[in-house]
Formats: sequence, C-alpha cells, structure tokens
Amino acid sequence: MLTTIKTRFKNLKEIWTYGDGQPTEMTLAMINVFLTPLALCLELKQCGIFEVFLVLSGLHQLWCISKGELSCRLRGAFFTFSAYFGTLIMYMGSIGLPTPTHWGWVVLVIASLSSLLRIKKEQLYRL
Amino acid sequence: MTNLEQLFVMLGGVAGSTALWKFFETRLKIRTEQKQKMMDSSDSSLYRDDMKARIEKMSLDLEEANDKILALIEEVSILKTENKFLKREIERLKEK
Repeated sequence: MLTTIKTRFKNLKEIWTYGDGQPTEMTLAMINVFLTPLALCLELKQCGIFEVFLVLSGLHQLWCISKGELSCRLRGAFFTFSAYFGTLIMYMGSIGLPTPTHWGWVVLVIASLSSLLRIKKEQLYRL
Repeated sequence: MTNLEQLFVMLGGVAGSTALWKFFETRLKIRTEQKQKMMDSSDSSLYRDDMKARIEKMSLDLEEANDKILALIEEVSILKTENKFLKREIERLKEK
C-alpha cells in the first residue's frame, strides 16, 4: 500500500515537472484577461493601469502559446507571473487575504511560477 | 489607490517577480548542469563513449586494410602480367 502511494506520488511529481504545460498556461492567461481585472475592480475598487497590464499580459501569453515559440512562451509566462505577483501585492497592501478563497491568489502565483520553471527547464534541455 | 500608486505597485510587482525569477532560474540552471555532469560521468555513458571510440578505431583500421588489399591486388595483377610475358619470352628463346 505504501509502495503504491510512493509510486503514485512519484508519477504525479514527474507529470508536474515534465507534463505539457500549455493548457495550464492558457488557463492562467485567460484568468488574467477576464477574471483578475474584474476581481480587482470589484473587490479593491482598482480599475486603472494595472488592469491594462493584466489584460495585455494575458493576451500576450495566449499569442505566444498559439505561436509555439519557446522563447516567446517564456517571456509570456514571466509577465503572467509578474501580473499574479503584482495582484497578490495589491491584495496584501489593501484588504489582505481575509478568507480562504483569497488564498487562491497565492495558489495562482505558485502555479504561474511553476509553469515558468517548466518552460525554462524545457528550454535548457533542448539546448 | 490612485493611478500613480497602481503604477508603483505594478513596477514593484515586476521588480519583485524578476528578483524571484532570477533566483529560481539560477538554481534551475545549476541543478541542470549538475545532472548533466552526473550523466556524462556515469558508468553507462563511459561504456557508451568507450564503445564509440572503439568502433571509430575499428572503422579506420578496416578502411586501411581495404586500401592495402586493393594495393596488393594491383601488385598481383602486375606480377601476373609480367610472369605471362616472361614465360612467352622464355619459350621464344628456347625455340631459338
């Protein structure tokens, strides 16, 4: 039983590290285009330059994924990670993370960072 | 939050994420290099590299041997022709 759990955990780790990250990148990009600006506008009453940056970063990443170029995807993933990190800072600097639902922004920061690392790893191994 | 404050937060977010990314990127590069070094110095890679070197050497030796065989065949043909003419000459001289 313990061996099975260890094997399953190892499989999950390998999929997380080496699995195809493009659907995740697309999801993260679409959240930045639609959900994040809306959340900031409604919850923090912030509707300005940062929201434009969020939408542009999401659209840029979708463009890079469709293009298929690794260097472009890496750049797009970096901007997406910056956008989520900035969003987290916005929340921490205003209302904080009062409910477990708000901790989802931390999860999105971690997901975008791991997506970025996955692409970088792919780039390094291709070299 | 005013637009200026938003701009600062955005710049702070980009700067902070850049610093964080640089840290993780460097760590990833170092780990990849270490893994590569381990793979290069592992027993199976050494055996494979040794086999490659031996195959290369044997290919070169085979080519050399083939060239030598061709040269020998040429020499043998020349000697055969010489021998034929010399025998004819001997016969001619005997008849005289």
